[in-house]
Amino acid sequence: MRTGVIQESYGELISLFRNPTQTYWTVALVIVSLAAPMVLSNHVTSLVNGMMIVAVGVVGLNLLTGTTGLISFGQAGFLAVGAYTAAILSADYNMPLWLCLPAGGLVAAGFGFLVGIPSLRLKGLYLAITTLAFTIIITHIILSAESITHGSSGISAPKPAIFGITLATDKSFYYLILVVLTLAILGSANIKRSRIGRAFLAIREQDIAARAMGVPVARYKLYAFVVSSFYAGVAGALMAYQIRFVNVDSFSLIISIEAVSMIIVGGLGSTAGAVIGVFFVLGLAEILNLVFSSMGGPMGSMSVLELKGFIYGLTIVLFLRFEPDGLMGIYREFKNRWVNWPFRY
Amino acid sequence: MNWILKGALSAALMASVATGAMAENGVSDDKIMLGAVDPLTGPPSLLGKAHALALKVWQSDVNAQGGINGRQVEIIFEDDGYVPARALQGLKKMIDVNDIFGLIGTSGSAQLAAMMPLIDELGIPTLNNMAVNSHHFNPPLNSLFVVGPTYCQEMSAGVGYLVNEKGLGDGKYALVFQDDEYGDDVRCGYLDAVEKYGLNNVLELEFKRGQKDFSAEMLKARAAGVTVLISGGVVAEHAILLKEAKKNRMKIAFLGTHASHLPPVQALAGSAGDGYFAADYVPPLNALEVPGVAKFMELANTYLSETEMKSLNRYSLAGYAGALVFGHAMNECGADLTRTCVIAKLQDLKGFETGGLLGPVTYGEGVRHAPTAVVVLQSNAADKTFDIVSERMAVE
Amino acid sequence: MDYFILLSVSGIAIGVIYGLIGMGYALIFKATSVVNFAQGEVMMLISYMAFSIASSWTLPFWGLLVVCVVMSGVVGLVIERVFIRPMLGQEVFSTVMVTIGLAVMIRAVVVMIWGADPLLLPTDIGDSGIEFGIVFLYTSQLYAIGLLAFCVFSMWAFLRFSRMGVAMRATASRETTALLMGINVTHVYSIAWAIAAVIAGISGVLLGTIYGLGPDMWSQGLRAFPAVILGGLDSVFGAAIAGIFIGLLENLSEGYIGRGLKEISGFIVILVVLMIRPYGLFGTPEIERV
Repeated sequence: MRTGVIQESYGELISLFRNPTQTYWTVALVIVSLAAPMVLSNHVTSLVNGMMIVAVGVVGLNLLTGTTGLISFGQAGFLAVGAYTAAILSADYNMPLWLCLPAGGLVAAGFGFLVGIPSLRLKGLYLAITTLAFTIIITHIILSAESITHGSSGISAPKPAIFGITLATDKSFYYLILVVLTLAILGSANIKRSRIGRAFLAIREQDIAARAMGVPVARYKLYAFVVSSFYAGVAGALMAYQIRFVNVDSFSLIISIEAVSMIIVGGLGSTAGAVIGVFFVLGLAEILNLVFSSMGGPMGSMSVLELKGFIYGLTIVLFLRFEPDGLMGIYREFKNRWVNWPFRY
Repeated sequence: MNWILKGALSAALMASVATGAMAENGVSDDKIMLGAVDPLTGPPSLLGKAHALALKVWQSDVNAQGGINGRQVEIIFEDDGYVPARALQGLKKMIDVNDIFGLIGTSGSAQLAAMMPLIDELGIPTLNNMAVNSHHFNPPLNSLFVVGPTYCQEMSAGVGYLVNEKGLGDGKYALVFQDDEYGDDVRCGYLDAVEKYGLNNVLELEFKRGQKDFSAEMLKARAAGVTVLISGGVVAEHAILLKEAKKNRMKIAFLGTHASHLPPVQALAGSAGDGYFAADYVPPLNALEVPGVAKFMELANTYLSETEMKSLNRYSLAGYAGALVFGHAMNECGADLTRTCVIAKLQDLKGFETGGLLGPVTYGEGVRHAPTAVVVLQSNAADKTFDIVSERMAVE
Repeated sequence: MDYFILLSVSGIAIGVIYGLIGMGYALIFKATSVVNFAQGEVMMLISYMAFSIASSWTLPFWGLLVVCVVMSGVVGLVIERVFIRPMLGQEVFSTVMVTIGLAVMIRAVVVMIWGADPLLLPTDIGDSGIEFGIVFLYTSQLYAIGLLAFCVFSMWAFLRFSRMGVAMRATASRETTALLMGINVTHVYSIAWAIAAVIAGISGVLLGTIYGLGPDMWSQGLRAFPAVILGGLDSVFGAAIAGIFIGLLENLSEGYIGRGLKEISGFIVILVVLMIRPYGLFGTPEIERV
C-alpha cells in the first residue's frame, strides 16, 4: 500500500498518471466507454451523447473559471457561435465535418479573445457581469445578422459524416464524440501540467503577485479565454450535428448558469470534476424527469412538474452550502478516510 | 465484469421484448401507443397544458366508446419545457421505451423542426396542430401532416376581414412584431395584405421577446397617426399594447394573432380589451352553437376536474380537433393498423369536417398542409368571451 | 418636441422602477459584497403574493402596499437566514451562486403555485391616471416616482443617521473591524436583506399594477442590472439615479433608432461602463492589496 504521493523527479511531477492504479482504472474506463453503446438503448445513448458534448464545453470552462479563476457566464454565447458556425458551414456551404468542428472552435475562440479583453481590467463579479452582458449581446448579434445566420428561423444542419461514413445513428456518433471528449480531456490535463497551467494557477491565487513573479498575466488571461471558448465552440458545433436544428433560443443565459453550476457541483478546478459534474447535473435532471412522468396522477397536479426546476436549484444551493468542493471534494475526502482508516489522518 | 453482466441482461431483455406481440410499432391486439411532446413546465405551459388536457379528453372519450377498432388508445406525454433539444430527446425516448405508433403533440415550431429528421427517418405519422410554420411542410415530409394556417395566412385573412367587412381599407396601418420567426411570419401576412389591398403601411415596430414596456412604440404609433394596429405579440404583449393605446387616447382597431385569443389576454387588458379582434382557425370555447365546441365542452366537463377546466383555451380545441383527424385516419385502417396505412388515409382526406372546430381538412399527394379556414373573433371584455364576427374564410 | 417629451416621460416612468430594483441590488452589495441575482425573482414572488392577497380581500392601494412591505420584510429575513447566513465565511462567489440557485427555485415555485398565465393585479387605482397636457401618466406611475423619492430619501437618512445604518456602512467598508467594534454583523446582514426585499416588494407591486404579472417577470430584474452597474454597485443613491437614466436611454434609443435597441442598450451601457469606469458613477473604487 502506498504511504503517500511521492514524486522524485520533474518528470514524475508533471506526468499524466501519478501511479499505476490510476492508469489501470483509466484503461478500464476507456474500455467501458468503448463498450457502452453496445449495451445501452438508443435513447440512452443519445442522452449520453448530449452529456458528453456538454462535458467538452464544460471542461473548457473549467480551465477558465476553475483553474484560472476568471468567472465567466459567457458559455452560452460561445456555444451559440460554435453551433451557428458549424451549421452555416455545413448547411449553406457543404463543408465536411472535420472542417466544421475546428472552424466552430476557432470562430468562438475569436469571440473569446474579444470577451477576454475586459478581463485584463476587471476581476471577480465585475468580470462575471461583463461576460453576462457579452452573452446577451452575442445572441442579439446572431439574431440581427440575418443574411448569414438566417435570423430567427434557425438552421437545419445535415447528418454528421466523417471521411465518407455517415454517422447516421446515435451510437455511431457516440464514438466521434468520445474521441473529441478524450482529446478535450487530454488537452486540459496537458495544459494544467505544463507551465501555462501553473501560470493559470498562479493567476487564480493572486494575479498581482503572479505578475510580480514574472508571469505575463495579460497574455495568459487571454490564452485562458481563447482556449476555453475554443472548447465551447467545438462543443457547440457538435451540438449542431446532434440536434440538427440550431436556433438562438437554445442558447439562453440559463445555459451559462447551468455550466457554471456544473463546475461547482463537480469541483472547481478539476477536469475530472467538470466531467462528473456534467453527468451528475444532467443525470439528475433526467432522473427527475423519469420520476415525475411516472407520477401520472390527476392532471391538475401537472404543476408538480415544476418541482423539477425547484429541485435543480435546490441541488445547487445544497452543494454550495455543504460541499463547496463539489463531488471531487467528497471523493477526495472519502479516499483520505479510506486510506487512513482507522486513523483520522 | 460489470459490463458483461449488463450485456447479458440487455440481451435477455431484448429477446423478451422481441417475442412480444408487436406486429407494427406501437400497435398490439388491444392497444395503440401514441406520443405527445408538449411544454408542460415553464411559461409556455399555458399552451402545453391546455393542449395535453384536450388530448387526454379525446383519449378518454375514444376509449369509453370501445377504442379504435377495439384497440384502446394510450398517450405518452413528454415535457420538453419548450427546448428543442429536449423535444428531440423526448421523442427518442418515446420511440425507444414506449414504441409509439404516432405523434399527435409536437410542441412549438422550433421543437418540431428538431424532431423532423427523426420523424422522417422512421416514418412516424405525425399531426402538428400546435405551431404551424412553412418549413414544416415546405418541402413536405411523407409522414408529417400539418393542420392550420401559417401566421402569414392567418393575418392576411384577418386584415382582409378588416378591409372588406369593416371598411378599414383607408386607415393608417402599423405592425408590432417580435424579433423571431413568429414575428417574421406575422409580418409576412401583414405585408401580404398591405400589398393585396393597397394599404397605407406607416409603421413597422420590432420588439424583443419578453418586452413589457411598449410606451415608446405606442408613442411612435400615435405620432404617426395610426388607426389600425396589427399585433404580433405572444400573450401579454397584446394586452399591454391595448392598455398603452387606451392610455394614449388612441382610437384604433386592433387585430391580434390567435395568440391573443386567450382568456389571460382579456383579463390583463381589462376594459382596454373590449372589442379587439383576433384571427384564429378554431372557434372560441364559449361558442356552444358550434357542434364541435359543444361536444368538446361536454366531454371536458365529464373527464376533467374544475381546476383543469380553467386551463383550457384555444390550444385545447386545436389539439382535440387534430386528434379527431388522426383518430379518423386510424379508424379507417380497420384491424390492419399500420403506419403506412394511416399516412395514406391522412393523405386521402378531402374536406374532412371536425364539427366546425376547423375548416375542412384536405391533404393530397405531396400536400402535407391543410390550412383549413380563418375566422375573426371579437373580444367581449364584459362577459370575458369572444364572439365570432366573420364568416369562415377558406385559405388556399 | 412633443414626441421627445412623451418618450422622456415614459422613460422616466419605467426608469423609476429600474431605480427601485437597482437600489435593492446596491444595498445588498453594499452590506454584504454579494450580488443578489435573485432580486428579480424575490420581486416576482412578492408581487404574486400581493396578487393572492388582493384577490381575497379588497384593499386600497396603500393598504396593499403596507401589507406587502411587511410581507417582504419577512421574506427577506427568511431568505437571509436560510440561504445566506450559512454561507458566511465562504467565498463571495459561492454566495452569488447560491442566489442564482435560489432564483431558479423561486421561479419554479411561483409557476407551481400560481400557474403560468399572465395575471392582473387587482388594485383600486388600476387604469386611472392624470393628464398633464399632452402627457398621460397612470396613477401608479406617479406613485412610483413618489415612492422612489421616498425610498431614496429614507435610505439616505437611514444610512447617515440611524445606528443600524451607520453600522451597515461600517460593515461594508471593513467587516472584521466592525466585528471588533462590537457590531453584530449577522444582524446587519439580516436588516440589509430585509430592506432590499422590501424595496423589491414595492417595485413588484408597482410593476404588477402597471404591466400585470407574468411568470417571466423576473427578467425585469435583469433589465435593471445596467442601472446598478452604471450607478456603482455599492451606491444606493447612484442606482436610483442611474435607473432613471437607463429608462430614458432605453426609450429614447428605441424611439429614435429603433430595431429592438431597447433591450440591448442597457447591456451595451454595462460594457462601456465596466471598461471605462468599473466602479460606476457613484461607486467606491476597490483597492486590492497583495
